[in-house]
Amino acid sequence: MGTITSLWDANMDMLSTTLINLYDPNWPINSRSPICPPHYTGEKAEIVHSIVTEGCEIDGHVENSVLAPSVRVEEGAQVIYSVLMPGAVVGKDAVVEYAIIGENTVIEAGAHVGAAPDGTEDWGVATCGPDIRIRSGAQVPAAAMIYTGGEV
Amino acid sequence: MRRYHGIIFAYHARPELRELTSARTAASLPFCGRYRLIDFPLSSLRNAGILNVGVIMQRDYQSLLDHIGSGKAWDMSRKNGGLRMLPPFGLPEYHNGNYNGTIEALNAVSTYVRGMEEEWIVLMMGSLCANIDLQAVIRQHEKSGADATAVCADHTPMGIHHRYILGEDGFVKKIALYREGESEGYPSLECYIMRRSMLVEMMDRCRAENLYLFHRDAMNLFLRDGGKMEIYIHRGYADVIKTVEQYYRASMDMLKAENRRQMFPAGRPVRTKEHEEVSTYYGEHAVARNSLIADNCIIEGEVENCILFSGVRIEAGAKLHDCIIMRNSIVGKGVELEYVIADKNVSFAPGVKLTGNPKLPTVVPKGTEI
Repeated sequence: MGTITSLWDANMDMLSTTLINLYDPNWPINSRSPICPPHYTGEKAEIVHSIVTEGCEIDGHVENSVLAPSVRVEEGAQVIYSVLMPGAVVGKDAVVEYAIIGENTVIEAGAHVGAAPDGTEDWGVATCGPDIRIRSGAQVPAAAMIYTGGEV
Repeated sequence: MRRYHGIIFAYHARPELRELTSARTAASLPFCGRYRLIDFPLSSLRNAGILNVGVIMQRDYQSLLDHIGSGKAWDMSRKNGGLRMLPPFGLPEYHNGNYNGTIEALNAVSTYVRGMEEEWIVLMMGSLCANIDLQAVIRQHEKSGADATAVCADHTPMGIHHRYILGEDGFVKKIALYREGESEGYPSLECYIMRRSMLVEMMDRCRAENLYLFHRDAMNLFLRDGGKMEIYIHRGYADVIKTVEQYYRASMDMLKAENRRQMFPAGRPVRTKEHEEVSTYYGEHAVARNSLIADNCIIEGEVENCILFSGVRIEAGAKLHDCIIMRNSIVGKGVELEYVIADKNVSFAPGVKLTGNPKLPTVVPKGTEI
């Protein structure tokens, strides 16, 4: 670990079925899970090449992403190549790409966090939160770090 | 809640549940992708601070014992009191443990009931599919000064049930037994708060007269003797699961957010045996719509209106809708399933097609390989 990008990388590695066998019964992975019902995928949910777990409610599009417990992705929202921490909420039609969203952070409707790699050196994974609220329609660029309690 | 003691009846694997209960009681039916039905009454008691609970079991209780263990998940594993599992009492006078009714079951564990210190008992069915706010029931009960309170549903359930008819004084004057559909009175959820001394008296009288059914015999005795019973209306999702059709309907009802809100309210969480598991992985061509999916699944095919328990594998090209697939089952490539309930460790070989009916879903027993 150590840098934001390596945290993101390590999470993305979980999506690779060859790199590490999470399902090996001889290597049980022990961690405390909160008690939540199984995750729910809605009528319009689209989840592809991603990891989702208990308590999540997915009504939007999730691609190449890793979701922690109790994450909510609303209808029309897109979560792409991102890591969402427990309790994160991505509002209607919001876009989260190449980002790490902290615990209980709320990305309001229509906001856009992060951007795809553009080949420049300035590019990086965007990070938000925990406990941050990104206001409706806000634009958070690649490599931005939004941490202080409050709103953008 | 020092004055209340819980008793859960986890007995009676009724034949109407078919293969689903051939090796388990109704109370240990896996439900909603992660739970077993008994988690709901256990959690309802725990959330009201009632930690002294006896679970009366009949037969086929292996999976129940395995699931509940010491009661730790519900904070009922205690040095003093806590959870007591009560296996069937195998004397001939109790039909060798094959209890004919609730009163007989209570008489079999009469030492336990008499040995309790609490003044009040909360009685619940292990197959009660509801998250009851017992603190609210107790508040109403204590305020009313009644001898007993019966918890009722706010809507008529699907199958056969009993109903309470109120008199002018607001107390129950009559029980209507084995009703189906709408009729006079309030539908019973077979959940009661009762004065322990009165219950013991009812147990004695029933035993003396060789009576053994709770509603037909004991409750009628209670009412005839002028016992005052109030009703509490539980507003929210509720049913007592007795048939495959009810089980299937209740499961599919969990796909609606409003029902989940009522069954899993934030202030009254439902606890279950802990399983630490890996998150679920969705592949490149996965489709999952209107479904509840547990952890440790691998989804590479299409599921719609389904409930998947943990460890389920849906291989590429498989298409399922309106199914319940229990733990560790495997649905092979290109399999098509509609209205199927697959128990644990079932495997469907590639290309298999199986279709049930919403009123009569096809139940595939544990461990079957198709």
